[in-house]
Amino acid sequence: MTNSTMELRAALRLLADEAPAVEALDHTAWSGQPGGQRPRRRLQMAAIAATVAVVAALVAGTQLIHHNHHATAPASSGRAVLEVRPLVAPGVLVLPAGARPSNLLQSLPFPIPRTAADYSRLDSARQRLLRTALTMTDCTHPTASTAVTRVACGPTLGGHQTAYLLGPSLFGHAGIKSATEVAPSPKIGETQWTVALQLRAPAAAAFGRFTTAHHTSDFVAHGATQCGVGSAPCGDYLGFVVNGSVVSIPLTMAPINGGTIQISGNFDKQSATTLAQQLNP
Amino acid sequence: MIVMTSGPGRTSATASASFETFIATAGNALLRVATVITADPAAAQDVVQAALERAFRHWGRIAGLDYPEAYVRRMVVNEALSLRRRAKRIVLTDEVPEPAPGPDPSGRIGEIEELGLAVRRLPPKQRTAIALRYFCDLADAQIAEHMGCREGTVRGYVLRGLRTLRVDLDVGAAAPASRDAATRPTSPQQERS
Repeated sequence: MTNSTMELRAALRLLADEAPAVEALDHTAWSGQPGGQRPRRRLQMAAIAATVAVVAALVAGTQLIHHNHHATAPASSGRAVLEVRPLVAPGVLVLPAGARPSNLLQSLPFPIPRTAADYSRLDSARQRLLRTALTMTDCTHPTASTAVTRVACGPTLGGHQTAYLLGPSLFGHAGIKSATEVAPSPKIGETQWTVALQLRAPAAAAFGRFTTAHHTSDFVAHGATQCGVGSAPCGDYLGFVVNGSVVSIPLTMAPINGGTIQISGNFDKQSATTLAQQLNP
Repeated sequence: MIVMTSGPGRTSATASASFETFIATAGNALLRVATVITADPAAAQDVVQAALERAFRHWGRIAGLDYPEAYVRRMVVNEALSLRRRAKRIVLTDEVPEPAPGPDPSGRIGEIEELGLAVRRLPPKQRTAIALRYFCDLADAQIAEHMGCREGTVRGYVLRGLRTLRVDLDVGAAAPASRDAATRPTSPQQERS
């Protein structure tokens, strides 16, 4: 509980950082005689307009999420495109849809970090700027994948879409030898279906190199529910992106050289089977 | 610092100069508090604007107080809570349905972000009490004064708010560690430590 109070203070400070600047206030309102009466009507109208805008944005946001939720599920036919990319920065909650600048990430006044180590070298103001840009990701129009970094949206959390900045791909579709759906083992507390991948040698080697360099061995000490300060480093997380959407961001806990990995991601029997079929070469 | 005395002798020029000085020193803090209380930067701007306009009309009296900032902050809190009532009465005929907070399916959103989201979802009075206690570091008695209620009521708001925040977090935090299985080798490789 004492720990949460500290986190609560941090969360409140983060919320306060969204405050408008003093310059945004209408200073002409107090340039005249103190004690004078000013009509309040204009302000009330502004407040109503703002509320309407917020409600509209919320409604639009809800639709967006439902829309994208379906898009996240693997299509019933055709091929699935898989990318496995390291996490660069902590995930963010995407703001509700509305008018927003496009390509905000590209217009940042510094190069986009490619790895979690790059990200951690940015000063806190730049990190915040980057994450703010990420919150404006347009999840209805995912950016095309590039060789270097990409932003991908993930499942919704509390009604908000999530967005992640991911680094260069470790391997893609060509790296998969076979894919199989795997039933959960209730004995060890598993409740969800997963998809197991057998990797070809080059992909297995790339995956082994990465997980040897980046893994968190002390799962309990890190808590492993977030990356960043006081927890597992972002670089130890991998993003599994299927058809442009993040299906899971697992934490790497040990070097994995066997060439066999499992993808989890809220799958049931149906969706795990479909994804396995789509991933099979 | 210029201390204004309330009286007929003041001139409007010095009064608005002193008021501008006040805004330069306290404006940011007021906007930040308002943003936490309303959980909406645009609403915060309206709230602070309205409170400052009202403060300006009574500036002669407020400037003479020991802590003008505390007094104006109280006006901001009042304005924020009444703005919500007004806006709700006029515009929100029914609540926008929002999905219940579920577990973080991918498991990797920062805990602080998750907590911030939970704070935004609190009822206004609970969020206000929590903001004044954990953001402004005010004592319950002062919070009660700001919100125009009893100390016991303040404690009720804070406790209910904290309980909600913790429940929200438990839901979000428990799932990923146990269920969202981390990348792991499957048999025969069992390299997990």
